[in-house]
Amino acid sequence: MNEKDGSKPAVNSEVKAMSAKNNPMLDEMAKLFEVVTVELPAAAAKSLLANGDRGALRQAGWKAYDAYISLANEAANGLYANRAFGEVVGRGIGAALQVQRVVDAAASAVFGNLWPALGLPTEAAVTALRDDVKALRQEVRALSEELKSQPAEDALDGVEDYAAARSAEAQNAAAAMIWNGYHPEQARTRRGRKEGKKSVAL
Amino acid sequence: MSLFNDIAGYWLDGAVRTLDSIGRGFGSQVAADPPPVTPYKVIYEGGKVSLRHYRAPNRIQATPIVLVYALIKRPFVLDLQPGKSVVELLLKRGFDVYLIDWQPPTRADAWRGFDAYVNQDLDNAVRAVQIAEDIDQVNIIGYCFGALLSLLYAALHPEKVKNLVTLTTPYDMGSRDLAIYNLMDRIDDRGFELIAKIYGNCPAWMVNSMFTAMAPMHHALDKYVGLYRNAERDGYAEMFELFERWMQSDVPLAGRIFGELTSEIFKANKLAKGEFKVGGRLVDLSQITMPILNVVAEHDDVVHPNSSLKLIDKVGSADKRNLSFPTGHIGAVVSAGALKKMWPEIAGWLADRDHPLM
Repeated sequence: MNEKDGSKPAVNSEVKAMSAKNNPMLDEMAKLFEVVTVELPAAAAKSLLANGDRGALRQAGWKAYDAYISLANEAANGLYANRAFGEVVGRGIGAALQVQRVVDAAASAVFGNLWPALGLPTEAAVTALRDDVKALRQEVRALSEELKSQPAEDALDGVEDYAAARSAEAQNAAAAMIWNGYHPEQARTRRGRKEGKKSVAL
Repeated sequence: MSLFNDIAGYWLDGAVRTLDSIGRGFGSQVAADPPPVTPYKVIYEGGKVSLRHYRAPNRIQATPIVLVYALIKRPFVLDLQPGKSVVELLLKRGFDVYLIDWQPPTRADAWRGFDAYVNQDLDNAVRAVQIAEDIDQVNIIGYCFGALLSLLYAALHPEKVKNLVTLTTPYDMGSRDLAIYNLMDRIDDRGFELIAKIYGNCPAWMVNSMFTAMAPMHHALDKYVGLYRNAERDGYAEMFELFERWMQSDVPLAGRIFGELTSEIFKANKLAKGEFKVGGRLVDLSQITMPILNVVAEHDDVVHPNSSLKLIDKVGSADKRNLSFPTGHIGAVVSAGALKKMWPEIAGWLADRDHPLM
């Protein structure tokens, strides 16, 4: 052990050797200690001697920063792994959720019943209304643009196009039904059976 | 003082982005994706699936790839920038790619569990590809939560999968190698049930908080310092902007699947124990007999490598292997190293088990 002669690297290697056996947090602390106490002052001295060449100093600074971030990450991991901290967080989340549930229920009791009683719309009603207005606006815009782009004599074609589109839509719906397991033959058989059945209802 | 001013400026931008996403996260609204890098056509929409088809300019391989993305963020990370896109790379290798773009659930979708996502939505998407391509089997690549869905799908519908690639799969959640897992253990089942009761679904802001808690220093400071240090690097700032946009693109998780994920997969570790059921059917991984490549990110801090590595021992395939790559969870799909080495290896593995298009 070189502790007697006070040389810092020896202390660092000692800390490192200890920390490797103990936990990664000590390891990170040792790294930060080494950078801050050895590399950073050395780089500062070098910078002074080299008439303001700050390259080495900057590099050592970033190295210290990286060591600090690693240490902070390890500290966060240590905290997460700590049973007591976990219990506090777990219970805290549970309690916060319970409170929120009660607040939500109270708010819905007040606003769900009192609000409409005062003749005021609920948020859901306003949202639905807004969606309706938005859809209507889009429809009007689409129709007006369609009208603008079509000459008068083509107006009837538009209706025909619409009918064709509806028919295509119906075909797509049939395809979707088949896709989802609908079999026309089976349906026909079922219908046939129904039609053939004599009603007993009077 | 430029250093502090610059970093403070970046930090403020980030704080505003986070607040925006928290505001959105209370509902089921999702911010618009950036313009797509690779053009695609939506060929099927149903349930919570929007199925995109990316056509290879020079298709070589007969069997297309179905990319099963995770449920918790938007999929544009797989097609981020020209030259930094998994989709683009697979197309260049001669595969047609179908990407499952999961649609965010609304409160009315809170009933959706693994059964709805795997046996209905994913199965319908695969059927759509089967019809579009006139084929019986597809190649599946699943990433993160998407890998879990792919794994379940391959176990329950093995006849439809030609080759399976699972990437950073949360399979054995019994391992507690990540400190955040210990914290999650302390939240009891009632806490998770309450989340679903209050919000219907697990809100997007909560999903975001979980990710932030995994690396608090990185999200609070280090990434902005990183931007300052790399600001001179060509394209770094643009990439950072896009990447941050993706990081804030969380979507809610349907209430039921959130409950199943937390209580059955994470806490009870039922999948690894062979006790997990989807739609009443036990998930038997020995039913997976197709070739499988299980890709593990060595520095993964979201799904620890130990949570994925054991998967390969449980599947029934004769042709199976783990591929470990020195990258992180997200680096697996965006890092230059992964796109240069890992993804070509995945594409090569698939190509070796396929035949050329006639």
